Amino acid sequence: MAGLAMRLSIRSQIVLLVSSVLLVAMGIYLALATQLFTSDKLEALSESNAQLAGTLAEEVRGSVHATVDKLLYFGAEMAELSREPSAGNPHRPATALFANDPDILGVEIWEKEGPSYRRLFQEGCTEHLEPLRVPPELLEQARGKVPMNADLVKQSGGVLLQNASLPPFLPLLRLSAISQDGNRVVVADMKPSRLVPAFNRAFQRAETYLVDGQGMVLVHQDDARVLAHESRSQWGAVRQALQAPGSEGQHEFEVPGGTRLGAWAKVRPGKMAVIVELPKAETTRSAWELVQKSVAFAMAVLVVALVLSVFFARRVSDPLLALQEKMESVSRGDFGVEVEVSSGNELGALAAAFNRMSRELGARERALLEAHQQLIQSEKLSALGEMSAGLAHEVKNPMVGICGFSELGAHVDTLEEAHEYFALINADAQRANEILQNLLAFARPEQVALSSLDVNETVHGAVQLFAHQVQLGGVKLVTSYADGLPMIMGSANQLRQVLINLAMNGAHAMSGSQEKVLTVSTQLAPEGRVQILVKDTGHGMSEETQRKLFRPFFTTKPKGQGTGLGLSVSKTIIQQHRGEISVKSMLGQGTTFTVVLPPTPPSARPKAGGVAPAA
Amino acid sequence: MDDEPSARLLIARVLQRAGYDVTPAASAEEAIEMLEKGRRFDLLITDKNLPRINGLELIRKARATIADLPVVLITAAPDAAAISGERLEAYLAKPFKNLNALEEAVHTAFEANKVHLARQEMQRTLNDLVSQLQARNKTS
Repeated sequence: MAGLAMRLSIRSQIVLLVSSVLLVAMGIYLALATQLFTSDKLEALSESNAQLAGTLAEEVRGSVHATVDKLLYFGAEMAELSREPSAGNPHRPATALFANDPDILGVEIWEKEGPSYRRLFQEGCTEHLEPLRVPPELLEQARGKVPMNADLVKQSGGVLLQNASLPPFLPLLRLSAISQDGNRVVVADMKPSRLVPAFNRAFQRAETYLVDGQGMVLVHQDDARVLAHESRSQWGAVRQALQAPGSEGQHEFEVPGGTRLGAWAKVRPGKMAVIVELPKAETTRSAWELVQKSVAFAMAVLVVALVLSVFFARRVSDPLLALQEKMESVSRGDFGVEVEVSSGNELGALAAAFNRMSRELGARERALLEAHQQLIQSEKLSALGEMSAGLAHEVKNPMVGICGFSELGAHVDTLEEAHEYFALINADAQRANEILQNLLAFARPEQVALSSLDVNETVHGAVQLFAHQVQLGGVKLVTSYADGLPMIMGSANQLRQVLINLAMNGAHAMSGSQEKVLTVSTQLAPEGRVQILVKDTGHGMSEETQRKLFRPFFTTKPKGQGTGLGLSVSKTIIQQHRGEISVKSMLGQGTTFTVVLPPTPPSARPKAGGVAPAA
Repeated sequence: MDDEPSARLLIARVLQRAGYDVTPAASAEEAIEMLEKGRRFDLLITDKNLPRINGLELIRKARATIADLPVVLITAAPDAAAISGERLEAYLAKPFKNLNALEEAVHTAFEANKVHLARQEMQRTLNDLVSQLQARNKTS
């Protein structure tokens, strides 16, 4: 897992961290909010249901009571008319009743005769029936289905409301009221339309209805339930409403569709009850909606946060990437590069610090280069000193010829002899000149510019410089130059210095050896490179010595004979040539130094025939 | 003996003109070979710095064959050569001051050799006298 964290960029880690914190916070908030919301909603809904049930019960009671009063008055009036027929038109009270109440479709009056009741009067209101397309026979049929039952009316406190609906289209209520003396029962067939709007006031998902003493639905928002004569006697809230002693209450109960919250209120007289119920799920519905909306909101916030964080992270990581790039170029040795300081924040400070470091590195690099240049020069002078004896001898030899033959020339007997001496003098003078040229070339202060060189030519120039010195020590010098080597980029002087150094070391190593052979050869190395080998048959080196060989000031020579810088300077020079220098040695068997140099890149190569390799 | 062709040729020419019989050798090995073949010389001129076998070594080997061979050593530093313990009749520095210096060196060498031989002779005579004296003392 740590590996994963390492692989993710800082940007992704920040984004992940922010997102997870955001999600966890959102989750906790949602859980708390949902809980609070649900309990609050449950309480509010229960209360509003109870209030609604109470209000509706009051309204039903008021409405029924008003109608009952009207009916009983009408009954009394009709009884009076029947006793005194001369008093007026027997249809007048009914007409007045119908005109007064548009919901009453028909009316009956029953009078007690002995143990039973006899229908004294019945009339349907054609004005009210006609718009409903109900013929009077249908009304009569409905009356037959729910016949007048005075005992029932008495049991329910003198007022009885019954469902007399005629499916499939006529919801009908039958309201029966008994007179105070119990001799007369007035029955009205009514549309429930006056009550329905009140029941529609309920909370949208709530079911609001009125039941009679048997649990039959009397009024419902949905007419179909009334038309179907639906019984709710098995519903918990209805059962409690009909059986409990109080006038109102609440009850939570199970139905096949789930848990429901019910509130009930009794309507007296009439043994009726108003029920308001709704699925308990309703209380969590809003909470669920909140969760859904919150999740959507969280997602949106997350997306925006991601986009923003990518944007801001880029503002952080882009300068970091730029910085990293520059750091890499510094690590490659390109000191002194600087990044743009674009902001005043920590990144800007970092960039500024980097620039300071880079500048300092650049300055140090320059100082180091300068010191190194001086070191190379001083090492060269030291090598020069070492060679001076040999060089003096080198120059002296041709001088013997020049001085001698020119003097001898004064005493010649023949012209041929003079010519011979001039030729000899000329040859020696040329030789002396060549030696001096090589010496000058070597001693000249360094110009670091690299140019395209022929390896064999360069090596041969170096060999000429050290050949005599090496041979004086009794060393046999063997050279072997490979043909067709590519040109290399280099400084002839510096390479000469390296080779002289290696040759002198080799000669020194062989001072006590039986066999003294120094082999200098050039070869083609892999990848088109060129290698120069300097091999001696000297005493060889221990592994310890080989390891320390290229360190500055490491020397095996007696004090005062070596600076200990030759090989370290040589290594630096070869590295500046983008080459490699390595050593292979066996104690008592000799040592081979190998210098590998890259070929001149095609871009820097002179045009064909520009530089002819030396023979 | 000189490994430098032009110096060798010059020395030979100068001395031949002065009437000497000169045999040049290009290396110490060549000179030693000539000596081993039984050739006899009156004087050896050799460079001190030679590859492989140096001048002093050559002198030692030559004197193993010809005991009293006079020698002219061509060297830049006569002091260092003298330390070697080998008897050296004359020195010569390169490049030669002039050609006379060469002839003079040869002449000096011969003279020095004569002195050397005379001293040897006198030493022998002295030794004889001393031994005769000692013998006489014993008998008496």
